[in-house]
Amino acid sequence: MKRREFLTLPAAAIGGTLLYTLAGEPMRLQAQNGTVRVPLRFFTAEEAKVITAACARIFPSDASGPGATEANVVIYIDRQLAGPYGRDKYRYTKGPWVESYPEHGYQGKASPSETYREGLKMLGDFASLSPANQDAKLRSIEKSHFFQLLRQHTIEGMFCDPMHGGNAGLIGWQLVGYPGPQMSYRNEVDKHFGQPWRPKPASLEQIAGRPGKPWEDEKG
Amino acid sequence: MATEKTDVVIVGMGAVGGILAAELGKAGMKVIGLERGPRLSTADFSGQDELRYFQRQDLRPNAKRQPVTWRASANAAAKPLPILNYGNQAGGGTVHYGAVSWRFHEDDFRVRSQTIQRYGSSAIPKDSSLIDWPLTYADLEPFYDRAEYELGVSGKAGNLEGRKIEGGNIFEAPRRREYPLPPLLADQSGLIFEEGAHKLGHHPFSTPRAILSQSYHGRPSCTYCGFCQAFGCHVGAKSSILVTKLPEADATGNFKLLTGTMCFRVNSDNSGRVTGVSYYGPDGSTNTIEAELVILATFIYDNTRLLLVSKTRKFPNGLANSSGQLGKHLMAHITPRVFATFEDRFVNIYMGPNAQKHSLDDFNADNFDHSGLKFIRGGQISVSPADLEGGPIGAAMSMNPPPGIPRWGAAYRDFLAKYFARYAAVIAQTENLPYADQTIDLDPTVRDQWGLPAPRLTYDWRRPNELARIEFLTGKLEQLAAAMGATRYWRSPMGAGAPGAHHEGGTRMGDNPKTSVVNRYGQSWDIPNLFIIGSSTFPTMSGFNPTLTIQALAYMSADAIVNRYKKNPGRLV
Ligand SMILES: Cc1cc2nc3c(=O)[nH]c(=O)nc-3n(C[C@H](O)[C@H](O)[C@H](O)COP(=O)(O)OP(=O)(O)OC[C@H]3O[C@@H](n4cnc5c(N)ncnc54)[C@H](O)[C@@H]3O)c2cc1C
Repeated sequence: MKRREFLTLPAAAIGGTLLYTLAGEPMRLQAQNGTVRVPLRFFTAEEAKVITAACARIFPSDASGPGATEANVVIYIDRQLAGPYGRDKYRYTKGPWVESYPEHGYQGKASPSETYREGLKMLGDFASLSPANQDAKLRSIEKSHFFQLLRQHTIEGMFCDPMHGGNAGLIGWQLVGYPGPQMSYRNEVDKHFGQPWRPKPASLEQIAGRPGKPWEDEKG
Repeated sequence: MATEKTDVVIVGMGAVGGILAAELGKAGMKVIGLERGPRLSTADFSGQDELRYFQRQDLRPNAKRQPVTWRASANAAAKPLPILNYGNQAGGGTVHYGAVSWRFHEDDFRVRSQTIQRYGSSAIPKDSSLIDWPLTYADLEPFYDRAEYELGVSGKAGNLEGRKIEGGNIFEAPRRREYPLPPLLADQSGLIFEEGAHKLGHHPFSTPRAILSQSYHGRPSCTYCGFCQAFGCHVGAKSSILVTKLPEADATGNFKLLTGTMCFRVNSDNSGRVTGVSYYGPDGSTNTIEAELVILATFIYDNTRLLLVSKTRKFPNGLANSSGQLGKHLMAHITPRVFATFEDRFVNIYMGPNAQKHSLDDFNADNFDHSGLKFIRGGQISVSPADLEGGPIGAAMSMNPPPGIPRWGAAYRDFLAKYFARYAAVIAQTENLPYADQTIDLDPTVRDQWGLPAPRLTYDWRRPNELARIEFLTGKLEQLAAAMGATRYWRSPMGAGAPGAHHEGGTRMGDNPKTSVVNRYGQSWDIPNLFIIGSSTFPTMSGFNPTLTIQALAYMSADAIVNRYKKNPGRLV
């Protein structure tokens, strides 16, 4: 078994401390000191740094808002790649490995986890490049299957339920103004005409009142 | 290896299978239902996880284990499709469908004669195998009525026995009475769609849906949570087969459901009858059911595939295929989309049932004059979230950003942050014509988890009539987006010809045994104790979603079996 690898994150990135105003301004509540060490399932700490840096160019953090880094997108991707999805649970994988129409999706041989190992090679010392050079690097691989996956996973990691590891503090949902999987809008659906409606978002765990486990973990 | 005897075996427990199980069971027939998936319940749908159900399609067949392949032409090599749009559990597709529930138009049942009468036969493309149905709307109306009232459909009548009613769909075929339930509340996207459509002189209305606007038959009303298409309903307000017909079938005491069972062959002897089916059990065992009556209700892929793999010396080209029509005339809806964003207002489109929220029917069927246009038929138009699902993953993955906005980076993030709550999609769902060379057959190389050859689709919608229809409708979508007050609107790219949602054809019905596989009741012309039911029998497809028509046909078949076939098990036509 490989050595346990950890990703060290600022504590503020874990657990609901970032909020947004309606104008999309980030507001940091109760800034905490200290760090949290998250055990990684797929990436090495070094690889996680590279992927974090790449996701941060797809969904950047800056003065106008937080992004993939604060949402812990890399943890989401790490969990997915270590699980059945990373081993191609959802795709027909017996060949003939020939690309054709876009509607067929990726028809190559590599599983998502293998694609990331290849992608990491393409990214090289990505984490140490300047933002402009990082963007140039990503543009140079934009057509690759790896980049398509990285973009998709960054979006998933920004907006998934936090039980999957991403969307930490529900910042993805706050960013776009999504209230989370509310169980009813019966009192809202025909009101607020043209107006924003921005209740504090809630995760599945908060809505159900019990901890949620990703279904893939449940099935083992 | 087990062998069981029964009156009726129904393969597939979806929209069709559930109705037949309940109706035949009530008539005292012993029914066994085979369903390859599990039987879930409303309690299983308490965790509405967009990643699981929308993005990973957890309620649909797994493309790895149950592949379906597609190619655009007979010269190309077919490859497995990444997403499969049909059911995979008791209740079938109705568990995770959007529940949009239409009656077809009167002219949807006679497209060929309607076209010739109004535009002349030259209006029909030479290569199209366009025919009329072997039944009329009037024949099916009592069964539409029954389906709406027994299952629970919400809507507003637009044509009560010929009297047009504003606010309903004035283009709909005449109905004998109102819907059993008032329309669902319109969300904000519905209201601005309605406003925009009125400005253009169109006739918008709240889309009829098999979702309860009020409590009905002991089930609660919709909570407007927005998790319909791709999700199971967490309160049971969606009138899926799981909460409507399966409990009825259970209550008859004559119904046994075998889940986790995969039918792989229809058995027959040389007398011209079928004797039952064989299936793999959950443990991989091979089992047989002997039945007086075999009903295939497996959706178009297996309705066709099971007949192809069950060929005999008498039927070397597929069971019940003396006509040679088996597997031909595949059709599918194509859905051009225009995305619209608003500067001055929020839309919050994630609220409320999420498929085809508000509609107009002005450009569907033959509801408008096609003279001078380069196509026949049309499409149904509606407002929806980007992929008929309200969450942010769906919006981001399905909505291409407008020209000038990149697909990633700060500008992309800002686009989503600003417009997720201020966008709407306007969507057309087009009626495409049947063509004999659009087919389902057996893939020569790809096999499913049971070792059966995968169904292979050969299909390309990019034909002159279809392209012209789509261009026309996309223009209408753009006009609507502008009339709705969108500050910016843009088209979604159209793809390379793969079939979209709602597949039809493969076991065409007709009134001539030489040119069709089944009669109007889904009864095989060749083998009277074999019925094949579902959209696989549709001769043409309509611009409307198919399921209520599928269900009305299932009620009609059940009625004919109970009242006529049971007494005299021969050809019904
Ligand atoms: C995401 C989505 C949204 C939709 N939304 C709408 C909508 O809003 N309105 C509408 O009208 N339609 C909609 N549809 C289409 C609708 O689901 C189908 O028209 C309908 O379910 C078809 O009914 P059916 O009984 O023929 O097939 P299904 O409902 O798919 O049932 C077939 C059943 O047979 C089982 N089966 C298949 N092969 C075998 C075998 N060999 N052995 C044993 N069991 C087998 C399957 O597991 C399945 O449960 C939607 C479909 C999808 C995928």
